[in-house]
Amino acid sequence: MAKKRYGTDQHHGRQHWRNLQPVKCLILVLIVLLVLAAAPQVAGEAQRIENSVVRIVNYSQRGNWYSPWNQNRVQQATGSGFIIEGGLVMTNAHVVSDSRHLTIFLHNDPEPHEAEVHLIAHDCDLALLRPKEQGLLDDVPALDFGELPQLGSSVVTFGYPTGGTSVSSTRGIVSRIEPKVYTHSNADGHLAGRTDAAINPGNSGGPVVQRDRVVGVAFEVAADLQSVGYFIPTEVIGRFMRDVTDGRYDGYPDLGAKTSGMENIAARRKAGMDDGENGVRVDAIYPSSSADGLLRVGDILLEVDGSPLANDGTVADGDGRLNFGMLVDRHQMGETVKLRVLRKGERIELTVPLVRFHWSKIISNLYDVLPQYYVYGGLVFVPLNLEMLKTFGDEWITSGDMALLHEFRVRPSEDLDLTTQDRVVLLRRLNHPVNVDMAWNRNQVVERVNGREIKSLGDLIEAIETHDGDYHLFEYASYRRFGVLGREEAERSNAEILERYGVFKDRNL
Amino acid sequence: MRRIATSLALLLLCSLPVFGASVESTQSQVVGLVVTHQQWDPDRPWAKRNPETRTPSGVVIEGPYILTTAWMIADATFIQVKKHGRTTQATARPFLVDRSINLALLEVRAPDFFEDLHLSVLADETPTIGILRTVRWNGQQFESVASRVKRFEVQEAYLSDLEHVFLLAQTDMSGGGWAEPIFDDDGRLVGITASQKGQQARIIPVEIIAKFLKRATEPGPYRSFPGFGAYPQFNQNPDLAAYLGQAGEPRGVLIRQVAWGGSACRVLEPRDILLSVNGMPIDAEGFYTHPRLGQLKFTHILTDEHEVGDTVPIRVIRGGRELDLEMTLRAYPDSLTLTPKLHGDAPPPYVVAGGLVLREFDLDYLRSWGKEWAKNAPLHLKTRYYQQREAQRPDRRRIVLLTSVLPSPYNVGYQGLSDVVVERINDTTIDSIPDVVAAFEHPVNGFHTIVLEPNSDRREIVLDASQFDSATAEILEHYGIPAASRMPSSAPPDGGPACPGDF
Repeated sequence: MAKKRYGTDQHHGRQHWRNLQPVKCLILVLIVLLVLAAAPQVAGEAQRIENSVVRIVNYSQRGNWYSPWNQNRVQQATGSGFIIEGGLVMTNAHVVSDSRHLTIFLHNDPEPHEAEVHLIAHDCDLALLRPKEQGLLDDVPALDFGELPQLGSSVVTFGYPTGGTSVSSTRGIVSRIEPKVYTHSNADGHLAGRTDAAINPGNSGGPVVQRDRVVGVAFEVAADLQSVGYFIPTEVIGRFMRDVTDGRYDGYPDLGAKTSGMENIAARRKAGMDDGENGVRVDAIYPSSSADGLLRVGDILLEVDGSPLANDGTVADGDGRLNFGMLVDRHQMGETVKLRVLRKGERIELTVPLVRFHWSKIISNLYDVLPQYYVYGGLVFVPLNLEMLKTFGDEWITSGDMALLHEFRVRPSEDLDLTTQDRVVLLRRLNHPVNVDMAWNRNQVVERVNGREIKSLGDLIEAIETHDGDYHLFEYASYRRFGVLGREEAERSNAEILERYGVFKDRNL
Repeated sequence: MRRIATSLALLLLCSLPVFGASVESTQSQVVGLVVTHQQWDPDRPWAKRNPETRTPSGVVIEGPYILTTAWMIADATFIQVKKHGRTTQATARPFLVDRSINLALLEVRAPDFFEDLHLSVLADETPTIGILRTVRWNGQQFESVASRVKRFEVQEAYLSDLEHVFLLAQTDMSGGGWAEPIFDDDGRLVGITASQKGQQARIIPVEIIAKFLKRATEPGPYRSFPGFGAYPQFNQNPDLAAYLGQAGEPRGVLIRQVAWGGSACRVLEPRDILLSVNGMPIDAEGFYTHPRLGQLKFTHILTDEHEVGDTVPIRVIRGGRELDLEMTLRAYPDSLTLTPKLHGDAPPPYVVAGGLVLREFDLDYLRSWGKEWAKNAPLHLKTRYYQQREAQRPDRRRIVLLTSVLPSPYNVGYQGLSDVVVERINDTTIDSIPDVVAAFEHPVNGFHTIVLEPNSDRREIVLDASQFDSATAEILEHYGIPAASRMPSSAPPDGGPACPGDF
């Protein structure tokens, strides 16, 4: 039951790390993609598009974050993709994540062709594949990218929905282009196009086409709305393609500042803003982020890359308005963003080199990595991150251990240094006489071991393995709980516990 | 009076259908209460919610008084008494209410009211085995059903952190838990139901009732039950015990944290092992052996054998050495916790400042998320309640929340804020509603600056101090709010000097 208050929602569940605010009435400028538009054109028959759409079958296997030495069963999933310049196939990251065996099927060709993931971007749900067979795509025309479609214009989505083996195309209207959290990472927000073209499982990764050019990549459907499909628009695709020109994907940088609006005139006066001057206040700065050491708490951010901010944090962009964070997102890692700020009555220009901060990784879904863990004396230690929380199930936000949720979702904003760490959780215990009397043996954030502060799994291992006292002392973050484990017995039992519970390796770092 | 009452009851019996003797004798000891109660609106603390009615039971005891639970008369605006299943003109008034132990005595001033009622006789002790009778009036029908003794268990009282023994019984009564009295075979009172879940009734046993009645009726100010005021953890791990210097099989409980203002404050310290209280040895899970009721959590020693002001010998292991200490017992009122369970019947203190609605945080407020509040309320408030109730300190006695903003042009930009914790106002740390009122007296450079906790959507609220009074007056008028603030009816209790609870 949500509490009723003037129709506003409870907002505590929202992740606000990226300064994403809802943006009303958003109409975008066209971002032309130059990178891939060089190829000669064969004028547009729909046949050409179909020939360039592939079916992708991915056999994937994910690590098990509850028994982190194990991997889950192999899963098969089908998606779509399309051929672009350079003998590559573009698709969604979520179609080819955690791949163990990857095959593509060309149009009207029953033969599977093995492929590999060339580049993958989990933060914007895009990936490039390369067939293992050289020259396989030489005779297939590459699709070109077009401009961002007009609102109200029609687009055609191509793909292999619901497991079919023949290509399908559906027509729809572009109803909106707006920032949206990308479900794949669950921590990144970018622009997404919205259409009523039928998008179904299997469509993922397929091209959204207008006038024979790709204007988006189909990737999500709205679970709670009827016939609403989302596609990744060319602005996001273009940024990805520019990012990978060096053969590596670096991802989105973060400014690392938490800001709040200056809609109230008293707030603007107190901050010393002139009449007609607008901006947002810097409320917090994440350590080791781009803003760290350059911006200061209390600064008023007036302009980003020359665009003046409104008091709600938006900037004019084409015919509409965008949150200023979207301007930062347009940059590549290592580029700089230009800020104009009001600091103690002075207006100063700052050039901020952009990096991604550690916290993004902690609050994202993880792919293509196996869980980190360390087992000692039957105690299973893992990093505190979103994957760990998800071991409580889909409803982890309400069903997870409350103290642990507090450490994950509330404490880091009170103590920002925690956002730079890989905090460690005692996940659970593999029962054995050596540990069976320990009172707190699951879901405890480990704050100190043997008096040493724990900021990563490596810290924990060192604190345990270099200790020569009779007992290990574990101090937990919540309720001032603590536990003690006899060192010699634990060390004697380690091998036996691993053997008994089928843990073939005591750690993965 | 009792003689007259008996004869009247006998007269009545002639016109009633046949009952068993004990049923007849208990039905003139039990009354129905019609409690009209009205809660303050947690979101709009200047207003009351719609009045509602509950119909608990009460039992007539010497005085004469009517005994019921404190929870049943919480927020009461009007209490009617029904006897023999029929409504009377008589109204009852609280004579003495102890929220910490969840018991209340009511008095009825109407002349002759008690004349056709019987006084309950208290049993000497609660039976530890067998079938008891739970009784109540259900309309004009009298119900007397079997309740089977299951076990005795020390649990927190419903309205406070005070721990005492409950009798848990499997009952045939459906929809019970509304202060129904329980009688033994001889028709003597053995308990009163505090709550019921399914068919399991949680009963306040006669041992606790007798102590409450004695304290309520003896001369001098009422002395509540003593509380322990420290938070233990199990000590069954031999490694941990050895680490703390205890040789052999672990025994005694480990002290995790000591609450400010409790009996243990400045006596016990974190990481003490509490071995015994009043000579009673405590095991590693915190149990001691009660001569009659068996294994009970050790905190029962305090409520069972002692009173506030008693000095109790305790033995601890601290720093590897056994120490004999003395602990002077104090009551542990709910108001000594950082987030109280209830404000009692006192209206919640609040401030409406420039449209910002500020109040003190407590369980009443959490409950405004409905029955499922433990699932639906914001995480940072739930964890405050669960984790940080223990954390009251002399300089941190209450949490002040900005619960919502009443929109007006004056507070534009802040209207989406809700349920955020206020840290400072105009450079003053905020610890209570009186602090809020005082802080708004002193704007800095023409502005009121409210700093919210870092976990909030914004860190600062800035308001124009020159327009503050007129804007507040307009908002009060516009939204029909009778007063800009309500101060607490009493200052929060003083726990004395801080205790060394940190490590």
